[in-house]
Amino acid sequence: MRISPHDIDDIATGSSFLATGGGGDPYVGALIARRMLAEYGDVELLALDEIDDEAIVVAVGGIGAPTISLEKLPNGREQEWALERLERYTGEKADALIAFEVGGINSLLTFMAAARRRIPVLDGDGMGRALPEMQMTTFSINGVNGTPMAVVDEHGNSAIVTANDTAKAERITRNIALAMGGQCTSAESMMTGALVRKVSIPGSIGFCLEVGRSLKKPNNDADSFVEELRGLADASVYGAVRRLLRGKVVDVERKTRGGFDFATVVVEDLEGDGGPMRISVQNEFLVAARDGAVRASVPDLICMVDSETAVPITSDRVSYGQRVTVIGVGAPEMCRTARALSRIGPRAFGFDVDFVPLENLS
Amino acid sequence: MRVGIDVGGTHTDAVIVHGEQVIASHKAVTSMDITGGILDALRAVLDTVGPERDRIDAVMLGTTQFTNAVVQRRQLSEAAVIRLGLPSGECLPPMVDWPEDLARALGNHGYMVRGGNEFDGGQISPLDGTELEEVFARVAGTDARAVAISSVFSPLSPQMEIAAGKLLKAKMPEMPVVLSHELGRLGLLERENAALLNASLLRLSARVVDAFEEALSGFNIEAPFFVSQNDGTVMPSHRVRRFPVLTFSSGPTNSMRGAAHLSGIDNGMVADVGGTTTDVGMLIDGFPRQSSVNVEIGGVRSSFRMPDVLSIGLGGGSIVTGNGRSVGPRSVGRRLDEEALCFGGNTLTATDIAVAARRVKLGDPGALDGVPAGVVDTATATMQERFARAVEQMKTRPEPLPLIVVGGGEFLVGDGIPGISAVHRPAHCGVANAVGATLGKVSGECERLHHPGTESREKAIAKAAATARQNALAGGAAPENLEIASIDEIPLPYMPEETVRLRVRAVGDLAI
Repeated sequence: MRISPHDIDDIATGSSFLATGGGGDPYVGALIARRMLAEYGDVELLALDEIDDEAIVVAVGGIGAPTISLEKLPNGREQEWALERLERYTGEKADALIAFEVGGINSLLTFMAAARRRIPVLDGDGMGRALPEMQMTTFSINGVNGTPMAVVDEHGNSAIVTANDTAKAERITRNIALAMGGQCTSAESMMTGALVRKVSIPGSIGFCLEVGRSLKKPNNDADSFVEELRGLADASVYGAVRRLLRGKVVDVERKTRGGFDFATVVVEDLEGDGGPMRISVQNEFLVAARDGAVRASVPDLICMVDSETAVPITSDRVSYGQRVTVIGVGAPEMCRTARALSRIGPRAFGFDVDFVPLENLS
Repeated sequence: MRVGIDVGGTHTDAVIVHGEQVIASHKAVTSMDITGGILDALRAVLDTVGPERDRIDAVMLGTTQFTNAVVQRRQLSEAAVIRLGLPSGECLPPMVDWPEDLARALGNHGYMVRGGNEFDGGQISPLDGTELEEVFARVAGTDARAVAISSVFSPLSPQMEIAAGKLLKAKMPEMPVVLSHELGRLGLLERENAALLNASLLRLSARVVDAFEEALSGFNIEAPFFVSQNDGTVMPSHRVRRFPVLTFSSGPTNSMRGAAHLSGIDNGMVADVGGTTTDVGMLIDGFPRQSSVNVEIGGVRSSFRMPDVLSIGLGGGSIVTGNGRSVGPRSVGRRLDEEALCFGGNTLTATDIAVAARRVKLGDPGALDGVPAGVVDTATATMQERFARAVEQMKTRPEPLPLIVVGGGEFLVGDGIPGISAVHRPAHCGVANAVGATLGKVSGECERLHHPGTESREKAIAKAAATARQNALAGGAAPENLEIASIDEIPLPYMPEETVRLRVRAVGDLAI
């Protein structure tokens, strides 16, 4: 399958849904990716089982505050530079790229680099959604050390990070990002084709594209989108789809702690008799509870769209009065293993609840 | 006394307001040359008050001319934009996302040079005077009549834009310069777009202000004049000369502010029923609720503060079809006076339905005898259903709220709307937009990044509030009752150091 500039808008829309409230505004990322593909040609999207066992695959993406890039626009060559630095350090050349995170701008950054390099992007990723830290990827969960990794800024300044584990690498790079003006671009998790097939979520980019197409249908509303999403999820590695609530945002409490945006969004039901739903946010929507019971929790996806237009709503844009539909999507099974839950289950984010799959909750 | 004038696509309205009272009003059809319609409306209301006109102490103009110039690509001058920020942004040059015809209308003069700041005030690259002078020389060789300068993070660190502007003034003293930090917020492309559009509107704004000042002196009115902005405040005429883009979308704001004033209701819903469309919005403390998404003007992404208004294709001139099951969005528009059945025309319009239903007395009701009662009932129900849905969609509070109906087609809206406590139709509601223009508050804003780790929240807010007040005073506010109207704090995610985007807005009465 070939990805054209036109598909980029669909991927951007789909990725802002799969970002579960995080990931920032995909506007600038989509704009650049579209231009790169228009200039350098379409990018091949390769299924995971199409890649050679010995092929070298690298994950690329951005680290830091996505809001920075709305003001300090990228140079456009950062991914390529990061890739070059990593290749020079390791002595290996990338045959294909993979997104470490399908949700948010990172899916788009992968296509920019692939277009310039004229190499394929793999149809899969390391999160199946958006999550805040590197050690939360399925690569890391399944034992892949994300380093050595190369990070660069818009000048081409760079650093090579090697660390004993990905969590430490995450802490180091976050501080490098700060020194680079609040964000940087990385090339990391160099893997063989055989390994990447074992540790990645298959088909997530294609799923993202399909979700984006469905969201962008004219005269769409949230309910008709949910119907289509069910069909798309059935044909993918994602699990059950639940419309959790159709209602109105009646409160948003915000605070920041340790660099993350903590908030509680309260959505009042406009149709049923139940109490309001409280959604806990740490950049992403992580736990949705109602009438004292959890209705969905991370790593399952809690997504929010405008009820009238089905436009995905990011957590920094949630405001009082919005009419929203909250949608739960079962995470791929690879994200629900005991090992995965220790990194990306509710307890990993400080919630005192165990993960229960969406489909087992009323 | 204050004079309020609203230039809309269909009508030009004028009012004279004395204290709380509307003492004269006039509704005229907007003329092709705009100015003619303004003169007619102005003359009509001035004639009503006679010698009292000496007591006029301010004239307020709400106008769609600048919005329409951009939307229709007319009366725009060529303008250049210079962005300071390389190497960042190299892949996204100025006007990158613009419709081609608009970029062409401005001459496609986009330049990028080194410069710009980081979020924390550090430099991305130092400003390079030689590089800038090369660009100035290239600009001088074009037909650009004004130059916009943008710089990365300039709302937080304006120094580089100011320095580049000074260098340009030294080289080209006659060339008008627009600095992006004077116009916008964080979001480089949106702010740069605003600065460039503004530069391209400078010649038109000079013409509009000159013509209006001339008209006022022709009527022997020496009072100062102000122009409405999109946030329900006004700016003095000398600021409109410099910042015409700030008038974008002031129309819906003026009607909603006027609705609040005429009804005495500060919190509720407003429906402004015009000839072709109805705008529905929500009043919070006398001001329209602002939109939270980026609004496009003429196909260009902007970051202007816009009222959150839902526009539906239903107004006095809407054409009725399907035996009343469909009303609008097609409309006879400004030809209502000729084409509606009740005015001797051949088209069944929403206004005819209201006349037949005895909601309003207009034209010749006898001309509607041939319209079956069933069609009148069905069309009335169709309209009411659409109004009710629009109100329901824009209402963001569960408790019942009042609905204020204004505009020339107010009689189309019936009583009894779900979620609405009462429907109000205040006196002079037909010219609420012109009344809104007279309400003239002045605002000033300040936006900065705040690091709670290094500075206390109180101190940061106090600093921002001081700047916002200064900006309001510079805009013509009276110091006496200048108030901080809003404080927004938006935490920036994914940053190791806690960072909050702080935005403070001060609002006060006009100093007259």
